[in-house]
Amino acid sequence: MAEAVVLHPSLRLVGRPLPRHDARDKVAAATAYAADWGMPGMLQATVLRSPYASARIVKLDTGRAAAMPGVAAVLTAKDVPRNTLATDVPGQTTAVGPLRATLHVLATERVRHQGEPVALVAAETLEQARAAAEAIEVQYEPLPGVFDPEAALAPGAPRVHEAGNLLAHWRIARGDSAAAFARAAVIVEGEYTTQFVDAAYLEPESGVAWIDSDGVITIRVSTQVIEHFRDVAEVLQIPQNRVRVIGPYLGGGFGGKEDVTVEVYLGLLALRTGRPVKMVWTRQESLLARAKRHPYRMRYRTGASASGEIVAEQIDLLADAGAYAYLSALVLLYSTVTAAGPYRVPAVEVEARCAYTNNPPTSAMRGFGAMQTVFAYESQMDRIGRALGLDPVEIRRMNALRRGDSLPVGQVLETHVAMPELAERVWAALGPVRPARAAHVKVGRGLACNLQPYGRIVWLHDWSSAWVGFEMDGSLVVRCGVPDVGGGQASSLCQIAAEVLGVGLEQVSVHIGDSALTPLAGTTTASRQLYMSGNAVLKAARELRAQLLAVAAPMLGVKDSALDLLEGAVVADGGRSLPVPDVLRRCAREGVPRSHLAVYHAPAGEPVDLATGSGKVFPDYTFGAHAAEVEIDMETGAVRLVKYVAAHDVGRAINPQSVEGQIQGGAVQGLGGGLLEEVILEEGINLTTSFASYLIPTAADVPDVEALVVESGEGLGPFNARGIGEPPIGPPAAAVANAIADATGVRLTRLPLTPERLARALGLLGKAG
Amino acid sequence: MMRLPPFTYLAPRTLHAAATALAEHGADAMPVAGGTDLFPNMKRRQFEPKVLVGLRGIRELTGIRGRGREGMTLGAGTTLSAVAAHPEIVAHYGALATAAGLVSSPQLRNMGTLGGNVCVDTRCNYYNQSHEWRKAIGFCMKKDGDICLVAPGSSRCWAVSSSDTAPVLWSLGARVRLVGASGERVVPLEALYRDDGIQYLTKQPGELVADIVLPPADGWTSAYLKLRRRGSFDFPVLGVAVALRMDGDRVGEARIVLGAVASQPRPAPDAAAALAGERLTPELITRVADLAAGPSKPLDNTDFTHPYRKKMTRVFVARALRALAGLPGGGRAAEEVA
Ligand SMILES: Cc1cc2nc3c(=O)[nH]c(=O)nc-3n(C[C@H](O)[C@H](O)[C@H](O)COP(=O)(O)OP(=O)(O)OC[C@H]3O[C@@H](n4cnc5c(N)ncnc54)[C@H](O)[C@@H]3O)c2cc1C
Ligand code: SF4
Repeated sequence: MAEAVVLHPSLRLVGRPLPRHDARDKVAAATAYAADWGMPGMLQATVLRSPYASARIVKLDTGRAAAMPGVAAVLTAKDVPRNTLATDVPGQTTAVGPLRATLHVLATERVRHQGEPVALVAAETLEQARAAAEAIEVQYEPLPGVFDPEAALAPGAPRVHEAGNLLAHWRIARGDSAAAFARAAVIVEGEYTTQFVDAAYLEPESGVAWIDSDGVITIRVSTQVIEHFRDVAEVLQIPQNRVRVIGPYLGGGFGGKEDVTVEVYLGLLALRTGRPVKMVWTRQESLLARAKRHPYRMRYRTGASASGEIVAEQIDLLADAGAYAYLSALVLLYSTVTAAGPYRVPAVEVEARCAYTNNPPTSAMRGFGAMQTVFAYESQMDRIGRALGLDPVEIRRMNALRRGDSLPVGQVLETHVAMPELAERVWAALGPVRPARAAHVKVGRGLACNLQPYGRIVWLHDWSSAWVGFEMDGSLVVRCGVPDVGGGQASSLCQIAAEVLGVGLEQVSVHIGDSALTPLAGTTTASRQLYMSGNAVLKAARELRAQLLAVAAPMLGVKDSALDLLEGAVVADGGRSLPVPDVLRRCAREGVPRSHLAVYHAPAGEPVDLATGSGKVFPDYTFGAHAAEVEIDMETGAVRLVKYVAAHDVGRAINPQSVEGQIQGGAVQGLGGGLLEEVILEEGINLTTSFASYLIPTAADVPDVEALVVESGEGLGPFNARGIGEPPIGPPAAAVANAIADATGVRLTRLPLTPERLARALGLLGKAG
Repeated sequence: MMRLPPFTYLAPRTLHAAATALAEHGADAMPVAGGTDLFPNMKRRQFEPKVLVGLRGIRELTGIRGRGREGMTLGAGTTLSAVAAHPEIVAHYGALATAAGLVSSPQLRNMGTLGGNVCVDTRCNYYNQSHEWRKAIGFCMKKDGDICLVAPGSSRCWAVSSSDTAPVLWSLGARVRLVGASGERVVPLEALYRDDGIQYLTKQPGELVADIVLPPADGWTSAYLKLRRRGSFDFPVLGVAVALRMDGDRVGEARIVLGAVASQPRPAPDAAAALAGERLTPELITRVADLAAGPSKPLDNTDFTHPYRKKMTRVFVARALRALAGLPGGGRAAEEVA
């Protein structure tokens, strides 16, 4: 579906929908995932978790468990050299101040959420480990808990942490919104709520750790961040160069493997026992206690002129951070920055807070706070359009951001903003309206647009490094510490290197995700990996190409600018050529390196004062528009998706197949969150700990997602690519809610959009309902 | 991964041998057919039999015999896929083919059997959880505990009958042949059930369901509608089975049985009686649907709240009747995914 924007007419591989090397391996079951690893003498480990959402640990006795058959180690918090990990979050308002967001490796005197890890056991067999974990004697004294962020911030609420329940608070105040509202012809107010959502990856958290022959603690783990070797070292209180993390191909991450999971526990147990140790969380464990997506309560007040220009917006966001900070403060920052959506709003006030509760912790998940807000701002746009009689495309066209405009935080958009055209395209792609198939069925259409940052916050000074080198036979090696979460990260790097260095894709080997042996590339999060590491590989490949051509030029008696690398040869004008291996031998003789290590630094900046709107927060943004057609059963409230189209400006599609995969997967995951998925909690107790109750969409529940890959040719990544990992998860819920409103006139403001909620809103359940 | 507890597996070749083995091991033993219900339940420690008597190797238990005209006999070991695809069943006992074809997912229908579906365990949000979870929350009386977490203070368990085929078989007037070590008996299918979430079957633990016997289909038509969240996988949150025999343009006889609204399939006799001798007019259909919703008293221990499920009972009964009457608005004949 790639647009015919020809940027580099001579590209051979970049821009082609090439099959990925890892896809075949996965289908053939040849990929060795973290849990597929085994070693001689390996122990099996398990975690004992808290049954209570809020309790004091009165007694913790591991004596009986430690003496059980096969048990090699039982660890509690007192066995952990440093039990607290911390992330620094600068900025924020004076109410909170700079934050050291912390989490505990194992619970000390208190447990703050159901499923909080309390103790670790390693034993010869998994059954022995589990039996021993059950034999650990823990006495809890239940404490009052708080399970809702609003209640958590009320005076006198039980404190989840001693310092109080307000974890983070961001504020933006731009323009004179009071005056602007006074001028508004229409004002639309809405309150929107989103739910706890699980990453629900195929591959649960898992890994194996061992002490290698060099004494280095080596952990082969399913992670999005191999740099967690530093956290492991800190917890174990050993030097960082004594820990190595190997990140094999993942069966999905979606942010859920951005924080540490099993690696710290494995490190502790390997260090204690001196033996290889394996830990694989069960699906139930993963669903029970792993960090979820933040539920939000979002209050929006939007004012527009009679012709439809948005003049002012007042936004109040409140998120549930769960029991530990993790990345909540940063997730909230993303929400704050994107709260007004891809629209020009001259006067904006945003108040964003998140509070500790005794619910499971919440942290990164695909979209990272920039996706909950889409549901709110796109519902508001639709309502304003309806109030003024403007169609969904028109109201967005009137208000869309353009290049040169600035976001409410003051960041100026420096690259192309594909906004109105994306909306126009998806809307047109829905095609002619189909009539309803029965009297009790109504058909409706909805549109939703979004913006999603790609790349990390500029004050984090992000960088990535990669090594590209030729072997003597002309084959190519790429080394780059990226974790490949399933998005085709590794394969896209190969495509870039092969493109620049004139070899076939099959001649490239790629080594990824090893903190000891591959140059560090940073996290596979924040839609940053192709952007950052793609740039690093591009830079390394270009340098290497220059090195090679400089050596080849005198061999061919021409200037190096007259040379090209094609099909394993250096080619000069007029058809003369030299096989690359010949040039490599000359390099060896002349002492010219046959490899290059490059570091790519993202545009950097200092923390901005959000409140005064002083500048750049993210490197750049990816824009998108989705359109849905739904059928509503007016007697049951059932929503059936009939057609779904999703368009994103990806700048340049390095591999359109992978890009389409991201768009389709993201849209389906977003539809799951929009219509079905919900972690159900009763007083902190999780009722949805299996896939029979945590409902992810099946193939029968979603239509084919038509992905429109739009290439503006502008973006900060290699060949002008933009990040596409997260953006497609943003719009689906809003697109469907808008389609429901179009069909029925009823607006749902709470996710998921269940048939029961719609039936109630339609009045089918009467007053009593 | 959750693991099975240890057990001994016996593989008898005849019904008699199976019944004898069950009698011999008493309360320690359970039969297993496809295992699609029992094995996951064992992983959650909802059942911990020391001995499993496997039924898959028993020839007598499989096979579909007879024709719609004279009635049919379905071996309890017949897979749900085979039931759903059998042309004679599709033609004459349409609701049964529909219900069997709507159970869970294609993979589970290839393993799961009709006998297992008729005996499938009752369900509840507080019970269909891992052992660790139930232990943490406090066990309920259905297994290992002595209270009900849904209705504290209740002396009984309200877990929900969640079979798709049971309400249909009931509405079709099916009977079951039960075989025990000391003999066999044939009982109406409805006599197999009782309204208790724990002891939901009346048969002796040692008795096996050998056959499901369907009466002649002459003149009967039937429909089944299922309420569930997704297009696959999910247990019914409501099942509506309607069977009708028409006398010219009037209803001769009718049966309406609801699934997933109580601990056993729940008939709606008043609604069925209101149909007898009448023309299927839209007005009658509305009245019958209202009557049928009466016996639907779901508790909030599965998906969706009870007001919604009750309301849907009305909608689904009306739709099933419209579908059988050939009126518009029958919904999707097979299924309601809501
Ligand atoms: C994810 C999932 C979804 C499901 N969805 C549905 C659904 O939508 N609808 C539905 O109805 N079911 C559903 N089920 C349950 C189950 O798959 C079916 O009910 C299936 O028909 C059970 O048949 P089986 O042969 O596998 O039974 P088994 O698991 O072998 O046995 C079930 C019970 O019946 C007993 N039993 C089996 N055969 C006999 C016999 N001949 N005589 C006496 N007792 C016997 C066993 O002892 C056991 O107690 C689902 C299960 C899963 C795991
Ligand atoms: S209804 Fe009550 S007793 Fe029965 S399974 Fe549910 S919680 Fe347990």
